[in-house]
Amino acid sequence: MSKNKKKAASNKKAAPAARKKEKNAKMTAAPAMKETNKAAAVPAKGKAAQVAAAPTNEQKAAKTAVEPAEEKAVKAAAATEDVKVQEASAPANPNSAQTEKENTERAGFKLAGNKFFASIKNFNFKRHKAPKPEKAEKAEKQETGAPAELNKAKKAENAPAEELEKENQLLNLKKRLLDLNPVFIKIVAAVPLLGAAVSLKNGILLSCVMILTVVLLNLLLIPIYRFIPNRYRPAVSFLAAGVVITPLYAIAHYFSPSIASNCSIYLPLIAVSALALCEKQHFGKKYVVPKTALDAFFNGLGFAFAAIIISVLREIIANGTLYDRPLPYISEAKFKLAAYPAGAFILLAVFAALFRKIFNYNEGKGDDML
Amino acid sequence: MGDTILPLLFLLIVAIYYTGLRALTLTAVSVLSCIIFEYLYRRILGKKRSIGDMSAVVTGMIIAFCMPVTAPIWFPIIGAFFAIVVVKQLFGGLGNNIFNPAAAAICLLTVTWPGTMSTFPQATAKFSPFATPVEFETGVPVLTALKNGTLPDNRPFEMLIGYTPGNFGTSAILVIIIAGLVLLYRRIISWKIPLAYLGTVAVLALLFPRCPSGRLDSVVFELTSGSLAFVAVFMATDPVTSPVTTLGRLLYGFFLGLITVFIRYFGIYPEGAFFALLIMNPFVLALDRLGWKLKSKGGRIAYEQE
Amino acid sequence: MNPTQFAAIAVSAIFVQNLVIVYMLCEGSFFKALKTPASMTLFGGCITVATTLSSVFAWLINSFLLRPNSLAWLSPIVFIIIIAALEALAELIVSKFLPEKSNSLHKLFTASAFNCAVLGLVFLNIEVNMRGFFGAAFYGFCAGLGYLLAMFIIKNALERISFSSPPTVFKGLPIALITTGIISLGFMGFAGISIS
Repeated sequence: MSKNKKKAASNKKAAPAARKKEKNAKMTAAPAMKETNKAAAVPAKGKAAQVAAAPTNEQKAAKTAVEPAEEKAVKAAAATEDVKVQEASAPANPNSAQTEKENTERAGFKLAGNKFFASIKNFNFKRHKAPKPEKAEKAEKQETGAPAELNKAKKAENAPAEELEKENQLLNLKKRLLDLNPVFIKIVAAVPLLGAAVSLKNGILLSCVMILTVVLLNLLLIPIYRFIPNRYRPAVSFLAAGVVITPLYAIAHYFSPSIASNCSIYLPLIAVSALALCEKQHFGKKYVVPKTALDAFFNGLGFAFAAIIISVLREIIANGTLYDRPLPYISEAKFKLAAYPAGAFILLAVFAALFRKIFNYNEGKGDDML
Repeated sequence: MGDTILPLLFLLIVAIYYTGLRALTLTAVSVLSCIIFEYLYRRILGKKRSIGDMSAVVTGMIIAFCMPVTAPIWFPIIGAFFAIVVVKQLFGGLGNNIFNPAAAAICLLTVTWPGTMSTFPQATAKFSPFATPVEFETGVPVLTALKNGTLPDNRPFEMLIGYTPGNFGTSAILVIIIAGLVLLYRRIISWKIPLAYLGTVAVLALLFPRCPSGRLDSVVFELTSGSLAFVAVFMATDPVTSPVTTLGRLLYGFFLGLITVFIRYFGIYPEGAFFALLIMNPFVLALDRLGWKLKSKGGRIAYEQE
Repeated sequence: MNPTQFAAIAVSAIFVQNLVIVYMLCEGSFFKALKTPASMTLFGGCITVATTLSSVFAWLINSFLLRPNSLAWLSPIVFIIIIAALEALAELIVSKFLPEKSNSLHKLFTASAFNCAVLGLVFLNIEVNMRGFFGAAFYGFCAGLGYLLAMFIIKNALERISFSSPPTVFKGLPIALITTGIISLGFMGFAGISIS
C-alpha cells in the first residue's frame, strides 16, 4: 500500500507537469509523432503510477490514440485530469479483468474484517508474558562467553518482553493498594486526608470523589497529552483536573451539603492531589486507554483504603462515634487530638512507618521527598 | 541528674504541705510510668538500657508538677507516654530529641483537656491521695484574673511562698529561685536563658500592664504567676534543647518571653510558656548558627547538604 | 483599615492560620525545596507572589461575578483558571525578557503555582465581608510569608534530625511528619487569637 501511496504522490506531482505539457501541445499544433509520443508518454506515466486503476488508463490512452491530434491532446488532458477522479472513486466499468481485481480486493477486505473481529474476540488485557525458558537459554548463551553482539541481540529480543512486563505491572492491584500505597508509602496525596478525613462520612466522600476524579482525569488527559507541547503540560493537566472536579464538587454539595461543607477547602484540593496520583510516565505511550485508566483506578483505591482507615480511627478516637452513631463503651474516652492537625500528622506518620515495615519498602526507591 | 532531682523534691515537699498527699500520688504515677515506658521501648526495640540516667525521673516529675492537683490519675500516664515514646525515644533517645518532652506532654494535655488543666482548687484545700476529686471549690488563679482584667486575690508575698491556686509544683516561687541559684552555682544551667526570658517578660509587663493596680504590681504578678519561673529555670535551660552560644541563648530567651507574653495576652490558653518552648525548640539550630557566625566574626558555616 | 486590623490580619495569616502547619497544605515540592537556603527563599518568594496575585484576582472575580450570580459551585474551576493564567503570564514574561533562564524557571513556576497551598489559600481568602479587598490582598501576602516561616522552621528541625537516629522504619518522611505534628501542637497555642 505504501508503494502505491508513494507512486500516487509522484503521480500527483507529475500530473500538473503533464497538464502543462498538454496545454503546450494544444497551443502549438505539433506533428502527430510528438503528440503520439506525448500521448504515449502520458499513459506510460499514468501506468507507472497506477496499479489499481491501470486498465482504465490504458484503455483510454488506446482510445485517444485512434482519434485526431487535437482531440487526442484534449482528451489526454481530460484523461490526466480524470485520473485523479478515477483514483478516488472505484471504477464501475464492465471489464472482466477489473471486476476480478475488485472481487479479490473485496475478498481481502472481508478477510481483514474477519481477522479484526477475531482479534477483538480473543482480546484479553493481559497479553501472555515472554516464556521463561527462553530467557534461561539466553542467559546460558551469555554465560558461555558470547560476544557483545549476542548480548545486544538478547536485549533487543527482550525489549518487547520488558515492555510487556511493564504493561502487566500496570494492573497489579495488590501493588497499588499495599506495596506502593500512594498515601502511606509514597506519601503523595496526603493533603485531603490530613485535613478532612475526620469522620467516616467525610472519608467516604473523599474516596468517591478521588476515585472518580483520577479515572476521569486519566481518560481526559491521555488522548490529548501527546499533542500538548512540553512547556504547557503542567498547566493543561491542572486545568483538566479543574474541569473534572467541577461537576463532582457541584454534585457533592448538592446531594450532601453538610458533609461537603465539613470537608471545607479540602474537597477542591482533591483536584491537585489527583494529578499526583496519575502516573505520568504512562501518558505518552501507546498503551490501550482502558489499561492506564484501570491503573489510575487502583491508585485511587489505594487512596480510598488509606482514607477509610484513617477516618475511622480518627472518628473513634476523637469522638467515640462511628458514622455518627456513638459506640457503647468507647464514647466516654475521647482524645480530641486526633481531630486536630497534630494528631493527623502523627497518625499518618505512624501508619507510614507501619506500612513501610510490613511491606519492606526500601528507602531510596521512590522517596524523593527528602 | 541528681542535682536537678533535689530541688524538685523540695518542690514536692512544699506541694504536699499545701495540698495533701495527692501530689505525691500524681508524681509517683508520673515517674513510674515514665520509667516503665522508657524501659519497655528500649527493651522491645532491642536497644541499650537507658533508665540508668535519671532523665526519665526528671521528666516524670516535671510533667506531674505542671498539672493541677485535681487532675485524674491517668493524666500523667498519657503525658508520660507522649513525652517518652513519641518525643524522646522515637528521635533516638536522650540527646537526640528536638523538643522538650515534658513541654510537649503538657501542651498535649492542655490542648486536649483544656477544662481539666485550668480548673484549680483553693490554695488550702487538702486532697486524699487516691480518690479523684470531683467536686471542689475552684479558686481563681492569678493568670485568669489577669486575663479578665480583675485584681488578683493574692498579694505578691503570697505568690512567693506558693499560697495561690495553681499547678501544685510550680507555685512556690521562692523555692524555685533558690533552686535556680543552686543550679547556677553547680554550673548545671546557664544564667543567660532565664535572665533573658524573665527580663523580656518583665519589660513587656512594664510597658503593657495587665494588672489594674499599677505597673510594678503587674510585673510582679506576671513573673510569679503560672509556671513561668518553673519553665525558665528547669525547662528552658535543658541542655539538649537549648542553644549553646551566648547570642543564641539571649535571643532564645528573648523570643521565648515574647511568645509567652503574646499567648498570655491574646490567646485563649492562660499559660503560654509551654507553647512558647515548643515553638522555639526547632529554631535552636538556627540561633546557634547565628551565634557562631558572630563569634567567628563573620565566618561562614557550611551546610551539610551543599 | 487601621494598623491594628492589618496587624491582626498579619498575625492571623502567619501564625493562627499558617498554611503548612495548621492547614496542612504541604506536599512534595515543599520538602524538595528545603534542601538549600537559596532554593528555599526562591520557592517561598514565588509562593508569596502567587498567593498575593491569585488572591487579588480571585477576590475580585468572586465578589463581582460569582457571588452576585450565586455561582459558588463554579469556584474551583474559576480559581484554577486564574492560577493557570497567572502562571502562563509569568512564563510569557520570562520568555520575553529573560529567555536564557526560561527553562530553569519553568520548573519553579509550575511547582509554586500548581500547589495545594496556593489553591487552598484562595479558598480561605474569599470571604467578602471578612476583610475587604486590601485585607484579602494583605492576607494573601502574609500567608506567603507564613509559608516561608514554616519552611524555615521545618528545615531547621530536619537538620537537627539528621544528627539523631530514629528507628529505620521512621527514617526519612515519617519522622519529618511527626516533627511537623509536634510543631503544629505548639502552634495550637496561637489558636483563637484575635487582636482588636
